[in-house]
Amino acid sequence: MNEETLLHRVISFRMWVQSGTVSSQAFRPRPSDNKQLSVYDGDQITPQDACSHYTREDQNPPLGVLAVTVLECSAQDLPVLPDPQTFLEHVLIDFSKFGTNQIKRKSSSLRDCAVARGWQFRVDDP
Amino acid sequence: MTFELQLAGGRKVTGVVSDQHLDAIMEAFNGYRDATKLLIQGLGMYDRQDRLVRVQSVEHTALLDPLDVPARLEEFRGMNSGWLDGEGVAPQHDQLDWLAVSFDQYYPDELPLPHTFPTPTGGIEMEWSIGVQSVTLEIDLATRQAEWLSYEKGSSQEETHSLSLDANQGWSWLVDKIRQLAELAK
Repeated sequence: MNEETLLHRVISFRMWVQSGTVSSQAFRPRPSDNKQLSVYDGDQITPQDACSHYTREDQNPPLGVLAVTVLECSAQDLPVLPDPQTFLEHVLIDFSKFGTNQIKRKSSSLRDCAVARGWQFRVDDP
Repeated sequence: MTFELQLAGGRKVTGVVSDQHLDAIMEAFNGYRDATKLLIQGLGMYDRQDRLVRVQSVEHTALLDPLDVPARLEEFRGMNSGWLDGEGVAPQHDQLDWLAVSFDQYYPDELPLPHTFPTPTGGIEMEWSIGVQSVTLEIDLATRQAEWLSYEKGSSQEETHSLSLDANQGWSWLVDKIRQLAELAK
């Protein structure tokens, strides 16, 4: 993993996309995430395979995959932590030293970077 | 002429429409993939569970703004507990109704509309991007309290404010702030 490595974020919930705009919540740790956002190491897995890995049979399919780089996380002062104990390609973006408002701002910046880069994979691509 | 209408919650019903509304319905039909929404006023038939089963006649149609807030909130009525990969509280219908009615009542048409999203805790988050300013408003539907955060992208400055949307005062504050940001962005 280096500064240019893409970190794939699976966008799982359709209600977090409205008229093409993705909610910054998609790049914000959830209440159960212990302030760490789960992503996939793009040097080790393709966006499509990340999406397949994420998908559970009993749930609706994700929308697709967006991505930020390690450098974009560093610019937000967010450490990027490999977490191979969970599974080999698993990486955590660590928001733990920030409060609620800072987390909202940083997640919004990551979302902007990811959206500017464009979808890396769409489930409903023809 | 008959048509099939997909309600905001996803369910489909059939209806009858006269020629005068055909253009609006066709525009909504052609915009289906872009989630174009159509407001229909007319006579409907409901079942015992108070669910619309058929549109018997259409008196008025209007294409809605893609960000129309009450219509967006209507979409959230179909959410179930565990909507977010097994976690996630579904917003309560009566609370969504309150927000839809209040937004319609207090938020002027000429101001920029927010993108509207559900939160994992059963609330609503509205996000505006107005010029260089970003705004998030996180609304606790149960308490009707909201947390405002606005900031200029790339700047360390930010403004936070807690407001009650249960009273006119809170809505007035919100409307004034959005109006100020919209004026600055001109």
